[in-house]
Order: sequence, then structure tokens, then C-alpha cells
Amino acid sequence: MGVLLAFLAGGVAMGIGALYSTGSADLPVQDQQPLSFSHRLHAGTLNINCQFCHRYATQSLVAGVPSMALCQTCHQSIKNTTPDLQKFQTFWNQNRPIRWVRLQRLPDHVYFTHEMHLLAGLSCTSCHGKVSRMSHTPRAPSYEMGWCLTCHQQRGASQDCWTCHK
Amino acid sequence: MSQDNQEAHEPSKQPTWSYKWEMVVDLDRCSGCEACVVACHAENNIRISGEEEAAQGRAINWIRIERYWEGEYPNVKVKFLPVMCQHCDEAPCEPVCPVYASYHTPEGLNAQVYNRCVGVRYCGNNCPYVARQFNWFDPHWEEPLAEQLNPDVSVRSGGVMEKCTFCVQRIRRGKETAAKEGRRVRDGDITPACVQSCPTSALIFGDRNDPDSRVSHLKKSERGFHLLESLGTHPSVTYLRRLSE
Repeated sequence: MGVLLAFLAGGVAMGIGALYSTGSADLPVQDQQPLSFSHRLHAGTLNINCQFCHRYATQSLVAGVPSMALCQTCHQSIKNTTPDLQKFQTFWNQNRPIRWVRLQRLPDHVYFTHEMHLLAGLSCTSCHGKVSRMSHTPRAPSYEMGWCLTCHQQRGASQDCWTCHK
Repeated sequence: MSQDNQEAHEPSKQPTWSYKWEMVVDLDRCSGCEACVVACHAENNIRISGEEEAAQGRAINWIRIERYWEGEYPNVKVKFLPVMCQHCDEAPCEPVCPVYASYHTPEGLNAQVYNRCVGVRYCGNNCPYVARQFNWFDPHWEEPLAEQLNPDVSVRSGGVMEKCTFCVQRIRRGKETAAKEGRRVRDGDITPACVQSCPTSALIFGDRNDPDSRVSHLKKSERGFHLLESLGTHPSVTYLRRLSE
């Protein structure tokens, strides 16, 4: 009986471990956005520059999520034909912010700045993939140190620990 | 055209400037007010220990003011000595770390990588300046003090060694600003929190590779000396003797 229990516990632990290592431990339910925003439509079909909405990327650590006022720049002249557009209008009318689910988060001990990476000549797609083809933005596979270092090595960027660790 | 000018025209290239960060402490100017200690705590998210932990020798201060009394009452004199990590070129704390959490940066800083540290405390025991301190507990801030934490500095958890960084977050920012403008960091661009808060300008920080920086000039002073010089640690902090000794 004891052996059986030990095997069972081990199996569960291994299962969770395998899920965690592939990144699937973050359930897709968690990534459900309050509105079905499509990067494929905005960045792809409409060909809007990334930095029109994520406007702090060239001048700050964070790229920034656009304010609703910025969305309204275009959306005030767009008819609310779909349920999601009507939902957006409701948020705007009720003066409520959209609580977007944050998908990418670096640990506290990492220092990362969008500004310096863009200054070094990287494009958004180098790290974020071709979002212009994604109708639903997934959680990035992993922003791990080895992945960062590969690029730093190739481009001759600093590999000193304190460049990125704080 | 010199090499420097060519680099200045290509801001997209990684900057190749080399720096050597050093500090000078003018003991003749230090009044022992401890403004540097307070500023350091605020800037670097240093945990608040309290009386009990301090009595057990577990309080954390990246910079401290040592106090020396001289003479007998009423002819008594007090002398102050600010001590922080000396960022030694031959640092005794570095070779003893089993996981390379303590290492030397190319810019002459003695660094501690917190997420790599496993807390064996060998580095702290090997430091002749007692500049390294160990987190025996997880840090805790009463509300609303937690709201004032500096986002540029990690909050160190229990089991991790920590020490003065010469405010590396400010160095990083200063270098980025300079890189954007395609130039070298100018003298005075970067001021660690202790240097910024010193009312008598007893602390001076700068780049030793810049021959015109204030630090480079002051280091040549005949008043200059290093703490525990005989140990051969080659500290990056130079002290200037008091004038009235």
C-alpha cells in the first residue's frame, strides 16, 4: 500500500513538473483577456506601427499598454458592429479601464529596458515573434537567461552579470 | 578622425567606453551626520532590522559611520570614519564564493548576484572590512513603507548575502543616458545615494579612467590612504586624512 502511494505521489509530482517545464502550468484560462483584441487585425491587416500603441518602448523600460483614450483616436470613428466593439464602448462610456491580463513578466532580480534594445537595432519581432499574424496573443514561451545570453553573445553585447541583474 | 568621433556617429553600436568606478572619502569633511546611511537605506531597499536584531549583530547597513573617541573628558575628541564596501581590486570575498555569486565586474565593481547566492556566508567571513551582511530573515516593511521601495533594486530575501553596490542602478542609468547621446559618462553624471546626500561633500564618486575626474585628481593627494592597506586588497575607496591631526 505504502509503495503504491509513493508511486502515485511520484507520478503526480512528475506530471506537474513536466507541465511546468513546458510552460503549460500557466493555464490558458488565466490568459483570457477581457476583450478579444487581435494583433493580427491591428498590426497585420491595418498595419499600425507597434509604437503607435506601445509608445514608451523607445524611451523607457516598459513598452506600455495604450490608454483607452489612445484607442479612441481611431475607435471614435468606427461603428460598434461586433459584440466586442460594443463591450469596448461600454467600458469607455462607464469610464472604466480595461483590465488586460499581463502575459509577460520578468522576475524582480532582472533589469530589462526596451529602450536600449531598440537603440541597439533590435526589432519588436526579435523577441515577441510575429504578433501581426496572431489573432490571439499567447504567453511568450520563455524569457530565460540562456535565451537572452545567446543573443548577447552573437551581437557582442555585454555579458556582465550586473548588466541585467539588479 | 579619432576613434572616439567615429563611435559618436554610430549610436546604434554598443558603446565601448571603459570605466573604473572609484570613490574618495575626505575625512576632514565628514561630520558623522549619517545622512549617507539613511539615503543608502532608502535607495537600496535595505531591510529595517530594529533594536533586537541589531543587538544580535544582524542589522544590515551597506554604509556605516565608525566612531572613535579620543582623549579624556572634558578634552574629548570624536572622529568619524564612513565605511562601505571598498570594492577591492583583489577582493578576498570573490575567490571563496562556491557559486560565483560574488565576482568582479569589468568596471572594477565588486558585485553580488543575489539570485545566484546560496548563502554560505564565506564571502562575509573573508571580508576584512565587514562590508557584507547576511539576510537572516525575509525583509518586512510596515505599510505604507512597502510603497516606497525602489523598483530598480531587488528586494533581497532571507538567506542571501548583500552589500554596497556603489548604487549600480544609478551607474547603469548614467551609462544608458550617455550611450544614447553617443558620449562617455561625464564626471558628476553619476552620484550614488550616499554621495548625493552628503551635506559636506565628504564623499566623491567618479571614473578613474577619466584623468580629469575629481576622483582621479583627489586620489593623487598626499593625504590619501586605504583602509587596512597592508592586506593588499587594493581597495577602490581612497580616504583622505584629516588636516588637523
